[in-house]
Amino acid sequence: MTRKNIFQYICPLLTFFGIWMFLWLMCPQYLLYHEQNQLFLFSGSYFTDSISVPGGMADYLSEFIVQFYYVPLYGAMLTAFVLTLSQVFSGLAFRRCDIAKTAFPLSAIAPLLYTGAMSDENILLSFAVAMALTTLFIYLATLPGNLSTLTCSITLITGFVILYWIAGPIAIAFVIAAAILHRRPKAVAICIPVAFIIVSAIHYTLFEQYPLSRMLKGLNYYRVPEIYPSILFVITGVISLLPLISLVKARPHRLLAYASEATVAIFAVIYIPLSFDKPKSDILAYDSLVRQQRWHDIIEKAQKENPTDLFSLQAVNLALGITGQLTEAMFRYNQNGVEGLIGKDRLDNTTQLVTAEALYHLGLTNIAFSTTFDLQESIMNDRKSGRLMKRMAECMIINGNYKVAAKYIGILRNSLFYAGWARRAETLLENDSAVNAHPVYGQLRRNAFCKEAFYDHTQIHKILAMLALGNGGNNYLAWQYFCAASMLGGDLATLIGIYNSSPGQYSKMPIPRHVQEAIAMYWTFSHPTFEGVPFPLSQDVKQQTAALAQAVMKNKNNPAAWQKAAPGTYGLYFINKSYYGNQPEPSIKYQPTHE
Amino acid sequence: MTKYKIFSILIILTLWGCGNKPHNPEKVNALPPIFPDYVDVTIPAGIAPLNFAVVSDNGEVERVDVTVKGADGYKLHTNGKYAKFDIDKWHKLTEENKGKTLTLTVCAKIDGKWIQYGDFPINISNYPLDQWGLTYRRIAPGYEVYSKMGIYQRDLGNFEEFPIIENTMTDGQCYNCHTSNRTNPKDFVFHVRGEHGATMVSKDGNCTWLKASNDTLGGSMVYPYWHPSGRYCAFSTNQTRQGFHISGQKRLEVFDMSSDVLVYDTEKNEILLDSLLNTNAWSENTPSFSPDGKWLYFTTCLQQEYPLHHKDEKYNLCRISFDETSGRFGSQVDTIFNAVAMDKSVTWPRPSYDGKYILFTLSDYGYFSIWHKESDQWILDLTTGEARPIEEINSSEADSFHNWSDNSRWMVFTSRRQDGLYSHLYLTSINDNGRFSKPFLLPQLNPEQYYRQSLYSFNTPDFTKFKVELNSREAIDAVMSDERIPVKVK
Repeated sequence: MTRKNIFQYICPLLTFFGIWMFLWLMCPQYLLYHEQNQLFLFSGSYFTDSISVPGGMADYLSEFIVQFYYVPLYGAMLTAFVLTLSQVFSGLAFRRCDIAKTAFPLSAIAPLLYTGAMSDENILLSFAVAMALTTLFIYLATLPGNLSTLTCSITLITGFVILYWIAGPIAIAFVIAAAILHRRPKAVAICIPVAFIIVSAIHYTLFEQYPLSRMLKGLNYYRVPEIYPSILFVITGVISLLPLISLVKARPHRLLAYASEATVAIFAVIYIPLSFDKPKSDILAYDSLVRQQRWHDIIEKAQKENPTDLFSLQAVNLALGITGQLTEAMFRYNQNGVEGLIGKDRLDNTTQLVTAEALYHLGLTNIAFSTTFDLQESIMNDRKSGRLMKRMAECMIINGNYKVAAKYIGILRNSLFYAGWARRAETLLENDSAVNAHPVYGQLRRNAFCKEAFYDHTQIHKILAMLALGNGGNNYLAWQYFCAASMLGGDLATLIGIYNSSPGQYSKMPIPRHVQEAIAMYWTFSHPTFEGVPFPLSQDVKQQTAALAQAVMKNKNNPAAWQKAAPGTYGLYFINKSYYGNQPEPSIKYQPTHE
Repeated sequence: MTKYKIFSILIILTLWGCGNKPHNPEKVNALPPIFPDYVDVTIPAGIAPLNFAVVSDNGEVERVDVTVKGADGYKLHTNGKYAKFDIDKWHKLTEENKGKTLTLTVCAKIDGKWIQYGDFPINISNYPLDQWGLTYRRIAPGYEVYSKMGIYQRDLGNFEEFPIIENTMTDGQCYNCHTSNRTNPKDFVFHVRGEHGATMVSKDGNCTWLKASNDTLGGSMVYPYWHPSGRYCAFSTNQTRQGFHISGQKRLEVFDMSSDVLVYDTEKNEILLDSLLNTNAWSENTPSFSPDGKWLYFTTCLQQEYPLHHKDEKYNLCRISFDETSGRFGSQVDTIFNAVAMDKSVTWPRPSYDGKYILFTLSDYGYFSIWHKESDQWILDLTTGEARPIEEINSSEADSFHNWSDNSRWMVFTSRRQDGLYSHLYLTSINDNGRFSKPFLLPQLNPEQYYRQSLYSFNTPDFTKFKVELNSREAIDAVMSDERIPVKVK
């Protein structure tokens, strides 16, 4: 087997395994994010609705694949396969050009660029499928051999119309690439204006509901309408112009081979990992861990690197709460006010995800439902979400709104990965005793807020107190959240007041470490010593609080000294907050949505 | 060999065909369990076919066979996964049976066994619909955000739906409060909310894009209703807030920190205000004109402290005289339905165009009745002054917004009776005695699939005499241009 033949087999295999392993091992959170922003359904209407718009077949195929992102191993494999296909078809299109065969590794540039572009979580797989379809068409266009300019133009226009409908406006790359491969530059000059006229005609006759710009840039290559990242232009340009290498007449194949190998290596090893932004990756990772309820993994991740944004902090606090450690360990992490527990309204499809989870686990089912509903509605390309719809159905089951739950369950039954859950959940409909006996839904139903009131984020600690103390005081998560919210909000008087009133089972438990620290802090405001403090505070807490007070007195402008005196304590948070206010806002800003 | 193959295929096809037709069905003494429930409904001639599905808890419905018999014996037959009628034949059948009854015989093959249910009637009304279709807003019943939404129109003679304006056209705007003049869309108005906000007023196809928010009013112009002359359009301007219930079956409340009623003069581009409609202590809301244009109906409630006393937000139905020549209001407000005395609240007054009735929605409190499970349709007979709940059409879930057909014989209203969250459209007719027929769900080609999978609510429905012709390209440009005409206050 010659070197150039080996390339033709090894390159696609390397691309496939490289992308597969990278996506699966390095960024499964991106795959899960994509999966939760769509809901592929096995139904005739889903198929017909999908394919009834330009690029719809690519959307349909991509959404079919993206549903497998639910299991990142499979999702990564299928994505790698699609991207490899575009390399294979590109390679096949150059098969008649000796020099192109030598430069075969260059056909991996577009797939690798796309892999790097996946660091933008809103670039959709639809574009990758469209790439594969386009390269297939380019390959097919080379099959007839030599064509006259007229025949070539007719072929390209026909191909463009078909490809535009199934893959979207990336079809223009087919026109350019195929014309280059046929060495018919005039065909490009003829076909591009004709293609524009065709797209305009399709727009004016069939799709007035979309601006022309979207028809030209693709309806579903990017999740946010009207935005088209430049990387997609670059990839389209690469696919269009890569065939230019077939025009190279020179014969230094070995040099070209090394150059192409080097280019691909640079992309693979440097460009792709560098394109992935760590803060964003961390946020998506926390979200995926919350989604999978891997609470200990969340804590382990936070122990390695302290969260620096509200989203991640909410995830860590929720994990601490569910594992019963919130009031024991929360101040080991950078806390940032009550918003680090439960976020305020943010009208996008990401930042409220953990808040919605927290509201659900706390038993604020109505608010969890409305937050989840709005999260689904804020998916910018108007898709629905399997994850969110399942949660909405769960809320409705807990609330006893079985008809609405049945609607969501009926839809989820047409999916692949939610159908099993939907079938099980169906047995709970109109069956109160089964719901009451359910280990999760029954408990959340018992934990529900009893009084009629409106949700108000500014009063969240009061809501949490009522939630914790209602229904016999069995909602330990709400109790932890109440204590945490009181401490974070600085409302120590309420916290201590409620502790004094001996609320149910909580009074029989040992006072959590951070609550002891808060009591000690509160006590030191008005007492020189801990003598007479009406709560059993540990000696360690008393010593640390006293040490912190001394450190602040002696080193008023030296936070490092405070940190040394009482690391990971409520007292340290309190002093820092008093001096410096809250920590910065989340570093990731998401696109605003329909408001 | 070839003949043998053809013969085998014919045998298989025959057996397959036989299997799809009722063969010695077991007769049961029960009405068929169909969705939508079209048993004994009254429909106008020429409406889209009432396709339906048989839904059974006792097994999988493999096939449905339906025969529809007209009074003169003409039959219409359908056989398939669900009852799907040919549109032309259905129209012919309904036209030929005006004032008569169709009889439907339904057989269903459930788990391989054919069952024949008891026949049921569908009544064809003597009253024509005389409307091209419906207009409505379709939007997910969300809380603070929404995805795809728009104002749509639906041909009632078939299943075709057309967008009048959709938010995919214009960068995610929200469109609401669309209204035509007595179902005639030559006078048409809707409101654009958000960044490119506006109030669009169209007269004879000429669109005027008004500033969404008037500085003098301190708010936008919403809940419009046209004066029959077409010169005026009444609005309210509301400082609206939402509250989200933490628990229970209630989801949210809408209350106004203040609201007033005003009339917009389209000829002078002026807002007509009156001290009786712009009080501080009271919130005036949801205006509508009487069919002769001499009265302006509106609802009013004593302003409360919200959200604390939101349950005390109770509206009465009032009216004030209006002189279209001078554009002046009368000096006296009459309470024509005292809901507060019943400890209830009235909203969405809609006078019938023949002047006989006022339709309204009654709920325990507030005016945003779609979020109130207890809200019901009520009718006030203007000749007797008596009001009654329309029990023949109300349900245990929210029955809310409504409008009359041009001839005041048909009514469309929103109801959440399917599941308590998603609003759908129901049509009903009123007879000479003021009684309504059993309402029927807006027909769809495959209604079970459509309604079971739809995640949208239909709201603010109205009949339309003609198809609304809004030049969507110009509308898009106008919305995005932000060029708005300020409105003067008289």
